[in-house]
Amino acid sequence: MSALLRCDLIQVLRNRGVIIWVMAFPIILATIFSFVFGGYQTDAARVEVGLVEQGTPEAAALAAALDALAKGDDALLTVQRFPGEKNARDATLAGDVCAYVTTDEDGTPRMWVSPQDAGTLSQAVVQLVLDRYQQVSATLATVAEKDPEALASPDAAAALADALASDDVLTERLSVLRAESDGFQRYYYAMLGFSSLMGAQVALLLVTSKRADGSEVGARRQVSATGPGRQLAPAFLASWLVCLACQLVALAYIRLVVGVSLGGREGLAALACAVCALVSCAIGAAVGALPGVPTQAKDTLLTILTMALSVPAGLFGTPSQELSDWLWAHLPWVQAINPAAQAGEAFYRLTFYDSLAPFAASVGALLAISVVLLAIAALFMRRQRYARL
Amino acid sequence: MHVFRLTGRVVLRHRLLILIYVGMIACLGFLMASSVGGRATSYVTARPTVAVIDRDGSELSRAIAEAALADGERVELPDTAYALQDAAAKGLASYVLVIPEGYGEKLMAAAREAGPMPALETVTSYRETSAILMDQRVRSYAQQLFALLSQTDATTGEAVAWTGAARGAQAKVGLIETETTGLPTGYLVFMQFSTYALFGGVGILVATGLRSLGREQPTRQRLLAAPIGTAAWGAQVVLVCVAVGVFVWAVLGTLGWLWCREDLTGVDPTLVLLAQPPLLALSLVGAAFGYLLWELGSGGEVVHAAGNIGSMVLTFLGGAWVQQANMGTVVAAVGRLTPIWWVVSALTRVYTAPAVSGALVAEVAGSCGLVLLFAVAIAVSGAAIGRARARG
Repeated sequence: MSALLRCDLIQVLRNRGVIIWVMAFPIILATIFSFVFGGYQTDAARVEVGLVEQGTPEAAALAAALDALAKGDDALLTVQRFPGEKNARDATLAGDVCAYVTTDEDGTPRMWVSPQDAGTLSQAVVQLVLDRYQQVSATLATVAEKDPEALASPDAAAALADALASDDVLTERLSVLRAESDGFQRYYYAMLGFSSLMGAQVALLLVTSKRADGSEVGARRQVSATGPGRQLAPAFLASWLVCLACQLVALAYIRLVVGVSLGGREGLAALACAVCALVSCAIGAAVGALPGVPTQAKDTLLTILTMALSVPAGLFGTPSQELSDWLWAHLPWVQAINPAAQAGEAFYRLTFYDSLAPFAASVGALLAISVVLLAIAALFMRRQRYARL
Repeated sequence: MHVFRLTGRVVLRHRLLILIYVGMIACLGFLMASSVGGRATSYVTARPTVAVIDRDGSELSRAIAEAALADGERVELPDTAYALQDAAAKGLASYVLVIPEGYGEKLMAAAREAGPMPALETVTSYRETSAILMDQRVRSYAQQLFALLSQTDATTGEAVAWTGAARGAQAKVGLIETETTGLPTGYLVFMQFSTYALFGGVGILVATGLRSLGREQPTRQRLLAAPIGTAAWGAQVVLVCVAVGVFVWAVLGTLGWLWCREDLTGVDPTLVLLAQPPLLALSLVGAAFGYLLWELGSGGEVVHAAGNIGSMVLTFLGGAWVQQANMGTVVAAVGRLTPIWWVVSALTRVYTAPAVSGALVAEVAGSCGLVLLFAVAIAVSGAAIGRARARG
């Protein structure tokens, strides 16, 4: 048994493709993520609005109101002035500013947005500022109508206008997560999910090398005195060990070199790696055990599976993460049976939740997926008649 | 053209590679394109997900809670630590407003007796902009209540009613009218996703397809004995590389047009056509990359690794997955050294353009020129390496 295990380990470690895909690829990807996200600015820092200089008193009043919000370290927006509406329009259509603002003849502010990019959060921020500007005079009018005595003196009206435009109300952000989340950690966790699927190549390599229809060596092994079960057990153990080692190396790299937080639960993260390695071996074993399918086709099938399952796990940028969020919200069972999504989710839950129950749910889901796939693999791996292969 | 025909047939025989790197990437691109919204016909203000936990239950807190929920998509959340973590971690609610016990009383005291200003508590997810927007909306509403309570003798009920009446006054928002319809966002996402296949997929297809014609392969040895000059042989191989690039580009372009044709209805066809040359130029870079790998004598595993890792790295640095405009200065500077940066940049310019203009065509042509320079540089490197290896 130990001789078979040693032989399988050597076979895997001599395979250049496995080392590149399972060990080098996650490290290279993590390095790129770290580099790209290092100086990445979120949209919050980039609410830029255009203002058309119309030369009217109403436009000047609006400009003053916008300028007041564009000052200071925590300025809500940046104002770009344009001498004419055409320039502002062109800048908005080109995406240089999220919208531009004009005033109507009666002084009502009007925001103009590009049809290509309408309804963004940045535009909503500008709209809110304009609404608030409008509502000061609307509130004064309401008070004048309902309680004229309150605005009897000009000073009272000015004081109310000032109070309406002020910023006295306070909000305080509560920190409820175990570790700060900036949204970029999701890429690293999705990457760990992706690399755990890549690990399926190891089990595929070893299983096909023991299948009669996988290779000539496999055909000879099938007729040897050692039964399929005794051959496949060390192969499975070897692939699990290699996958685990690669996962742990990738985890150590993103934790120690890139500095991604695991919420102080590194030990449990290693446990998650062990389960991820198990599921990747189960996938590889299930694909490798499929009867009557050429080895190259199995390899292709595994590549397609890896890529297709990683997209809804949120690895490929913002659209991919939006798809992932949508699936979690509307079709959670699709994500629940997706090992790449569950693997990423396991690390995410481990890092951010106080309770370990969500993490345990992800680990449980991964174990369940492994059991199902291993059962499928076992079904096909039994000694079979030549005609069936 | 015997070598061209033979080599072309050999490359196209790799159907599984075509299935993975053309068919599957196109399917994934379509999946992502389907998840983004289409072109707007009217302005609809953004409504982030919001949840409110009202621990006060006063008239003021109820009014603030209702206003917050009216401004966003309501999410029900129980008042537990786990639920708050769930909302923040998963982004179930971009903004959770927690109104502490006694808030209404303290706000009234601050307004009428100049007491200390109480604070509303918030829990926000990683969706920073949504949280900022909702925070501003809540503070704006509460500020109106506070101003009325502090500057007038209005009762709480009157302040709530007057604030509600004033909230009807809103700025007008209009869509800029353009002569033509621009490219839909979904089509842009599809094209950006196809950059992976056009670089890595084409590269892998070329390098793997030409493998049987490698320097040490017996087929190559026999072909070298044929009455055909080295220049003609090399030119035909290069032509095959170009043909593979054009083939993948054409297939992806056709699939993209077929899948997005509903969204493309009414779009200026010139804009759609203008978006294609940068992608074609990128497919030639992919072909040159495959040629380089082939001349280096790379094996199957190395070719797949180089193609996929190279694609992943270049698409991230080039801004296919994350916005170029938000990248840091250093990352953007490095990104400009990659061909995909210029392709994405050209596609974004075409996407944001309301109509085709001379300046737009010149800009796209400039980007294509830069991308083609990458192709030439890589191909020349491949040829030089091949020549050196042949002599060695």
